[in-house]
Amino acid sequence: MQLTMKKGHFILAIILFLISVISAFYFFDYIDFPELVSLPYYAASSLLRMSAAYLFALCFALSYGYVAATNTRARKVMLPVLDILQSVPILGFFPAAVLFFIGIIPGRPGVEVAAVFLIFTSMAWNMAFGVYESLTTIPKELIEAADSFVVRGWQRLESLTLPACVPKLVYNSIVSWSAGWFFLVASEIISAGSGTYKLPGLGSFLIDTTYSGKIALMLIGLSVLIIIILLLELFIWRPMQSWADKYNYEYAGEKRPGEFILKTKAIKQVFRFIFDVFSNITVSLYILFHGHKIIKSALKFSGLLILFLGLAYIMYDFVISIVKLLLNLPTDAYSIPLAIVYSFLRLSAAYIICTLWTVPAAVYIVKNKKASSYLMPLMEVAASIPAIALFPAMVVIFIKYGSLDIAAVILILLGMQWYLLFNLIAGVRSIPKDIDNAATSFGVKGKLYWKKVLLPAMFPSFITGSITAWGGGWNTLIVAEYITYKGQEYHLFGIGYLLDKATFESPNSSMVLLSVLSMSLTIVFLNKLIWQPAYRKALVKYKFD
Amino acid sequence: MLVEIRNVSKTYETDGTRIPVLENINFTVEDNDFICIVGPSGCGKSTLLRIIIGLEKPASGEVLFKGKVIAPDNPKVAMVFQNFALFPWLTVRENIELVLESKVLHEKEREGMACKYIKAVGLDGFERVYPRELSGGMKQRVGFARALAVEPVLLCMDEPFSSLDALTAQNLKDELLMLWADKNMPPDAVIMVTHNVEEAVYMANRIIVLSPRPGKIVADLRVELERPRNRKDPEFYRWVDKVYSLIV
Repeated sequence: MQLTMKKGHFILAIILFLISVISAFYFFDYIDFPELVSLPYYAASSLLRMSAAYLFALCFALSYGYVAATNTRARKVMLPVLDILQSVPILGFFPAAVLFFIGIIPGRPGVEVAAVFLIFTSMAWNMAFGVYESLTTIPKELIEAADSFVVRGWQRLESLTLPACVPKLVYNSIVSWSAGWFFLVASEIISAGSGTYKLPGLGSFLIDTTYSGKIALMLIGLSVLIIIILLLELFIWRPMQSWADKYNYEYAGEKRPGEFILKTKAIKQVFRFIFDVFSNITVSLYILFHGHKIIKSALKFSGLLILFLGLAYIMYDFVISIVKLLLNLPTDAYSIPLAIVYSFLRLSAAYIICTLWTVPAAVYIVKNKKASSYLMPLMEVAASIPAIALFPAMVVIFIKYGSLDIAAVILILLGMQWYLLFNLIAGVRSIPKDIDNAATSFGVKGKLYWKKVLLPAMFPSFITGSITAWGGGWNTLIVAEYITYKGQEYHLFGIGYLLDKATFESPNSSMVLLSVLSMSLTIVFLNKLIWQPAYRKALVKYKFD
Repeated sequence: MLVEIRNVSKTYETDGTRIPVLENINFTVEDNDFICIVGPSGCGKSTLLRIIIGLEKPASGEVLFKGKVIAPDNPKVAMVFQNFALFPWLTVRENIELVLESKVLHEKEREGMACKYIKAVGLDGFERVYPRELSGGMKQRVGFARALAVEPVLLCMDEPFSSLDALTAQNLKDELLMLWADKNMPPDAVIMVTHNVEEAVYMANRIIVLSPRPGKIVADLRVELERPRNRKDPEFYRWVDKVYSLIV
């Protein structure tokens, strides 16, 4: 076994461990052992929920992406739908989903399904986009080769379609998985309608311990969460990424700087095995459905029917609730526009701070190889900690010493900054060596170099990063503007607060619907008005080809 | 008569403007032909080749293979691509076995055939290597091995030597000519698109010259030079000059 590990990780792991041990002893009198003993059980339950959601997301992504990429007629509907799903704050729809699932499956199983569903929604869209993009960017010659050499049916699926998806799917899985942690914490304590439902897990443990003021226990829970994230990173995601490199069309063969990878034959074989099993299942399903004309047409028919009925039902429901809403507008409704402005200002403040530090940081990290070998792993670990898990701790500090507004902006910042930072780093790295060399040899340096080389080169990734950062920001908003600590409720006026209030404090389903709708509309509007034109411009003008 | 290209025309449409690419192309391919299609860049050479093997549909006209309209999945026709088009996640041998899957049902037999053609292009020892670990010339050898392994009657090639260095290209050209001349080995006929006139004169027994866009056949020449051909031969140069004068 070849273990290459950067010092930064070791140091960090040791520090974390020490902090958790010291804090545990310091607060020893707080700790009740039954809670601590059940921590492994909590961790296992949370992990299981994540895995279940991931598996569903994977299946969804493959089928949705495949259909969207191959069926041009379906694509016209499927892509915009995916786009909206991705940019809408899913957390806001959650109470409705919980009530729906509990209605079908009563008791704890219903809540479990609802939690898995919430985590699923945070993972699936981005992965489906990954599949779609992979399938539509297969080199033309490769498709022609498959066409002219009669590679079709299940064989094409196994040798072209699935392998082509691997690199993007793995990369997006990592992003999805960390988004999943964020939603896990939110999903384990669910309030819907009149009841609050709690699931045993790390997320509920964190929230519970904070709200009841057991800080030591909360810190231990947080350490456990971070250790789990680190272990997964080390034993699953990193090796998987290096395994996925095999499926890239162009492979430089060089290690990304500042990265450590656990390379073992065993792990590679495990991935190979999983991939084989997965592709075998897909292939046999494919044969089953495509082999028999009757099954195929029956499937197509029933699929269309379900889709149609589902859409019709949703439309009906939607129209009815809108009509009801307009006939009987809640008094809070009039404060929605102002709330959105307040929230938007909070997001903007966080975004400005975020831009100010990530742009120079990204350049520094890429340009200083030595610093990056320490900083990159540190940043990656920091980024993998879900911001929401830190919020309880921050609130405790800010309630005592400062204002909640600062805490909210910091939380939003935490939910935004990593997307921007990592995108910018990738942007700086993508500057071709030739261009850098040309700049050096013609004496382009300092201010001029920043203005004419660095900033334009970073622009496309700055836009992509900003889009995802704002997406993350809107979701964080929902937890940032409303909190209960030691039985007391603290809030900031904003759309997130209105939504939480209508969900938890004084349940009002029409207010929930209104807040979510206006928030979604704002997001879609901002996307269409600012980000999409900016992105198009960035692609035309600033892309290296 | 192996292939018949009848009144083939093609237009592309971009932003509402129609650009004619090929106009009224007519010729036939006989057994034992080695045809090179040459012409200025952008004259539709590659498009014509893609139409001949059925990867693209002509706007009008048709391509008949042994009297039937050509389909892209015709097992008797194989293609060598300009940029190799190898599956990066499959090894050299798997790349070749893949195209045999629908023809040769027995796994052992597939393996044997793949190995035979890997040897034929001089790649033995590299069966388990992934394409990315090979140089450009070796990748194109895999491309040839893959095309030959399906034992095609007609081999189509789209500038197969243009991304290779001169020496590797020369070796591969000679090997290909040997395979073509060998009556026991596929292919019977070859169609090659190239922008390199010297290469065309060196290899072809027929050169079809296309005009600038829209491509029309300017000349269909039978190259009557002894084989093996000698590039230093003045007669060889007269041929090169003749083809050049037709293009310009």
